[in-house]
Amino acid sequence: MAKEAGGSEQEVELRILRATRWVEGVVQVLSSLIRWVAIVLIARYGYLSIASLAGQNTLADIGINLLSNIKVSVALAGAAGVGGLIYGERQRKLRKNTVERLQGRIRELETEIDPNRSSSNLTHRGDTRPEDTI
Amino acid sequence: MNELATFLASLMSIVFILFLLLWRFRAYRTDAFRQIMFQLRDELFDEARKGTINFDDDAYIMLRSAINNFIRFGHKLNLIQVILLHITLKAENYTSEPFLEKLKKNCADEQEEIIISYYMRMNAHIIEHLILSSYILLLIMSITFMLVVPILPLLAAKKQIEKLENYFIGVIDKLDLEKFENMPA
Repeated sequence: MAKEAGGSEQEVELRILRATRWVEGVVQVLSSLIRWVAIVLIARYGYLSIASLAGQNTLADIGINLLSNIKVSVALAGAAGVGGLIYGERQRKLRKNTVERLQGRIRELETEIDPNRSSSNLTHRGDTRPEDTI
Repeated sequence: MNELATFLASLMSIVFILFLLLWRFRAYRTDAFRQIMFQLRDELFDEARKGTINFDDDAYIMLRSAINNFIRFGHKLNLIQVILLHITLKAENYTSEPFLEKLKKNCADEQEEIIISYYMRMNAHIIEHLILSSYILLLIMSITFMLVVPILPLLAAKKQIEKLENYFIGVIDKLDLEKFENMPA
């Protein structure tokens, strides 16, 4: 039972609900801010580094120079990183496919045992519902 | 030009690392948390199927519902949110009956132990998720780990040296030095 000094129980619940939404909003803004600040800083420094060569070299020169300066070891390390990312994404997709294939059967069998079975309300692939992301 | 090439290559690597850290890592942590909570929910279901708890017990329904809610809103669960919510609720002077008390009230004595053990495990998983999904905490833990790991062998070595020292002191104490003095040269 929710209690608060002053105000009915319904008012308190409403205030708490509002406070929860406010906190969610603040956290969402903060995490978006971190991401966008990172993107803006990277874009800025990338632009500045290329702008410093304005009038001296063309973009094609820079591109060719960049490629010609990459060592085999660095290229291999990069390829390993990108390969790892692609592998991880493929495995993730495969896992989601398995979730999608099995969840219906599990739900059906469990509902036979417990007709009042409650659900997590995720999507069939085990993802967050679009309305819950807001 | 060489320096610029190195700079751009480094910038691309930083973009890649940030993408992993700010996008993919968070998604992975949410999925890992959900997976472990699904596992807990399945185990709770099996307990009820075995008959140690009833599917119709209020405590079972409450606990399953709580696990379901954590699975559903796992993507929103993070340390900053918990701290901010705690501060806000304190400012609102909000008090409510603890969930544990509600659970205890709603289950039979013989089932209390099982229900509470699942409730504790649920809390442990939530705390683990809060720690592992926080960049700041992970950073602090990594730095602490990096500082502690080189110190541990030194501490172990110091202990062994002290043991060795005590051993030799013991041996030297037993020596009859007078005999040595009286020994012919």
